[in-house]
Amino acid sequence: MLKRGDRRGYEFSFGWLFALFVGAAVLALAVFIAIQLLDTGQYQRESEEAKRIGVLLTPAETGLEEGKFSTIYVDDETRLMNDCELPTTNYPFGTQLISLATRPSYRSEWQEISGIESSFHNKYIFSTKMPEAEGEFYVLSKPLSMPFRVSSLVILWSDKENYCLRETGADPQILTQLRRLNMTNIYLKADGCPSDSTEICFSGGCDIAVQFIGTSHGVVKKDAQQLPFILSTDSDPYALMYAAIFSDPDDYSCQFRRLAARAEYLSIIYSSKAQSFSSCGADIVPIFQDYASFLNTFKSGAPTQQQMNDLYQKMMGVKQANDARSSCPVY
Amino acid sequence: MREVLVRSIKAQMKIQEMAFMLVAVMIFFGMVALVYFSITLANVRSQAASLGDQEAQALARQMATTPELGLASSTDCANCVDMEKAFAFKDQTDIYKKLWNIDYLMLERVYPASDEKICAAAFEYREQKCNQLVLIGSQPYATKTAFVALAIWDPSLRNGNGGWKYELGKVHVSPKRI
Repeated sequence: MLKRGDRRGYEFSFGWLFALFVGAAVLALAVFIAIQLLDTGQYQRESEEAKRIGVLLTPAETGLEEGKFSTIYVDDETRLMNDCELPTTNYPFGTQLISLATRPSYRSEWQEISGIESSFHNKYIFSTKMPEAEGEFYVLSKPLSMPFRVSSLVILWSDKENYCLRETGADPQILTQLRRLNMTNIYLKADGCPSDSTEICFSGGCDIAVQFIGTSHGVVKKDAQQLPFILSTDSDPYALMYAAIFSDPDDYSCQFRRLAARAEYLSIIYSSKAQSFSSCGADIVPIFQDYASFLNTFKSGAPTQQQMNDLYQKMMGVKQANDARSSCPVY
Repeated sequence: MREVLVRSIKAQMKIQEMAFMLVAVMIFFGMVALVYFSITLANVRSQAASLGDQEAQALARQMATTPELGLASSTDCANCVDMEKAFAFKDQTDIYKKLWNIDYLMLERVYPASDEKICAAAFEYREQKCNQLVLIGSQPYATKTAFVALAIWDPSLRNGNGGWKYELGKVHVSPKRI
C-alpha cells in the first residue's frame, strides 16, 4: 500500500506559490515607488532651480551701469522655458514666467513635464522660447529709459546658441559697446561668420536684419516678422534693439507691452511728484499725464512702427520739458 | 478523515498567518512612507521660505535703484531713495503690491533722529514728526533690511531755490508668506 509522501518529488505547495506571487508584487511595487520618487525629486529640483534663477537675475540687473554681462552655471543639461503674460486687471504689470527642465546624466531623454513655473512681475527676460544649455546661460543686462528709467532688460542665451554680428553698416557705438562687454558666443566679424551661428546684419540680407528708420526708431526683421524698437535716452540707446534681436517675436511684443505698462504707472508717480514741485519751474504735470495716457494705448495690441515713432516724439517731449527745469528736474 | 481535517486546519492557519503578516508589512511600509513624505514636505517648505528670503534680501539691497523709488533727478546721489516719489508711490500701493513678491515694505529714517512714528503725510516727515513710511502691507514678517540713503526735497535750501537733503535710512522688506 502506498503512503503519502513516499513518492520522490518536490512538493510545491500553495503556501510557496502564494509567497512567491506576493513577493514579486511587493518588489514590483517597491521599484515603481522608487521611480516615482525619483521623478518627484527631479520635479522638485527643477521648480527650485527656476525660482533660484529668477532670484539670481535680480543682482544681474543693471544699477548704475550701462550694461552688465553675467554667466549662470547649471549642473545638468537644462531647458529654460521663458513665457510672458500681458498686463491684466489683477496683474497690471504683466507676468514673467520661468520654468526649467533638466536632463541628468542618467537619463537619455527629456521629461515631458518641467518644474513648476515661477512668476515675477518686475523682470523682463528676452530670449528664444526655450534656450537649452549644456552648462551655461549667458545674461546681458541693459537699462531702459523712456525717458526716465523704466527697468533693466535681461537678454538671455545659452552655450548652444551662437550669434555673429556683421560689422558692415553697424553703428560704431554698437561695436564699441559689444567689444567692451566681451560676451561669450557673440562674435563680431567683418565677414565670414561661423556656419553654426545666427547672423545679424545692418545691411543686406541675413538671419536677423536690423534697419534704422531715422534717428529715433528702427525695426528688426526675423522669422518673417518685423519687431519695431525705439532708441532710448540712455547713453547706450540700443537696449530694445538687442532685446528684439535675441527674443522670440511673440515674447518681444508681450514684454514691450509690459514695459509700456510699467512706464505708464511711473509716469503717474512722476506727475504726483511734479505736483509737489509745482512752485519750482514750469508746470510739467499735464505732460506726464498725457504721456501716461499715450502709453496706455499699447495695451490694445502689438506695437507698430507708427506707434514707436509717436512714442519717441512723446518721450522726447517729456525729456525736453524736464530738462528745462534745470534747478528742480522731476526725474 | 481526521488526519485530512487536521491538515486542512493547519493549512488555513498558515494562510491566515500569511495574510496577517502581509497586513503588518503594508502598515509598516505605510508608516515609513508617512514619515518620509512629512520630512520631504517640511524640506520643500523650508526651501521655499529660504528662496523667498533670498528674493527679499536681494530686493532690499536693490530698492534704492528701482525706478519707482530711486532718485533720478539729482546727480549727487544716484543710489538714494527719493522720498518725494515714495510719498507719491504711497497712493499707488494696491497696484505696486503685485510688482514685487513681497508682503511688507517700509522706509525708516535712522539719522537724523526723529519721532518713532509711522508717517501719514510728507509734511510730517519733513517736520521730523515721524520716521517710518510703510508703503506695502502692515505686518512685518521675517524682515530683511538694508541701509540706504534717503533724499527729501527741501525748498528752503540754496537761498530758497530748494535742494535735496540727504539722510541715513533703512529699507525693510518682508517676503511673501507661504
